[in-house]
Amino acid sequence: MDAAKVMTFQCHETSIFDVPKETIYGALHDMRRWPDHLPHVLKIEVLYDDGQYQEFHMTVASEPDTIRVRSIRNCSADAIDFFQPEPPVFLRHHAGRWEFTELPGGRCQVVVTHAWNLEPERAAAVFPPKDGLTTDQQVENMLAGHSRQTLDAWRSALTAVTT
Amino acid sequence: MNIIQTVTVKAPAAEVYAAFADLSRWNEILPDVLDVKVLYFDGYHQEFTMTVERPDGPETIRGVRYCRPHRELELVQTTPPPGFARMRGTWTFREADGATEVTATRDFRLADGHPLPEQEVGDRLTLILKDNLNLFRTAVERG
Repeated sequence: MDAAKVMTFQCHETSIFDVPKETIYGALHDMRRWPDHLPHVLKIEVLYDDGQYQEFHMTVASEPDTIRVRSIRNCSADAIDFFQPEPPVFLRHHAGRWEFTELPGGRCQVVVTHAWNLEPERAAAVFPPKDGLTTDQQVENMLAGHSRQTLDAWRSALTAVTT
Repeated sequence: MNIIQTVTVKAPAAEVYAAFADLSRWNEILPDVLDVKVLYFDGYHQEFTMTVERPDGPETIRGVRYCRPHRELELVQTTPPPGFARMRGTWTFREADGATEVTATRDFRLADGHPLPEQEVGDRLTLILKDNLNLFRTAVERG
């Protein structure tokens, strides 16, 4: 991932889907339908979409209030790269990638990568060292957790559709 | 519709790439650029707005570039100019014998109801692209 070269931190989560590559890729590509698939995605507002490049606002359920993020994506045949031009206050930069590899038997491997640079002072204020974990580790745990939750949510959604 | 133009600049690729990548230099190099604001840049992704002078008044586009030193800049205008539904492209840089060949491509689609035929717009854009490449060549070679 080109963006990883300019980011200090990154994490990867991998999952195998029992659906063909085009099914999971198509679901990830068509952000307009995410609220139909993913309960935590409340709203998608598409700002630009030419099939390859996409820009949208996504509103997701969270506590104590909903979160609205802007994402810009570059979609190729085997991967969807994204970045957040207005990342959360504790991140200076935030980008990532969904990578899709077709497997035998109509399955697909999906690797989610997050890459980021911290906004150190704000990150330390939001995630002060706790339970033996540094600020860096807590941010990594949070983003890796998001990746796992999203992969699990997609697996549930696509299994429900295909069975 | 796709258009393409090439220019050879007598300078190393790093130097030529730097001129195209550094948006703060654009209003010195291109006379129709009135203002450029970089909204986000992490070293790879770059979001910006650019205001240019046009016969009907200033036009502001918003764009995203993917910066791959010193070989390629990939562009999409998420807010394209008036009359365009899509504007995207690349600049690629290939160094040989102390000079750099810059190839600029544009892939555009007119908005519905555009008054001019696509070919005519393409011809005009080709000339603008050629002029701009030559302005960059002059700026880089002047140093």
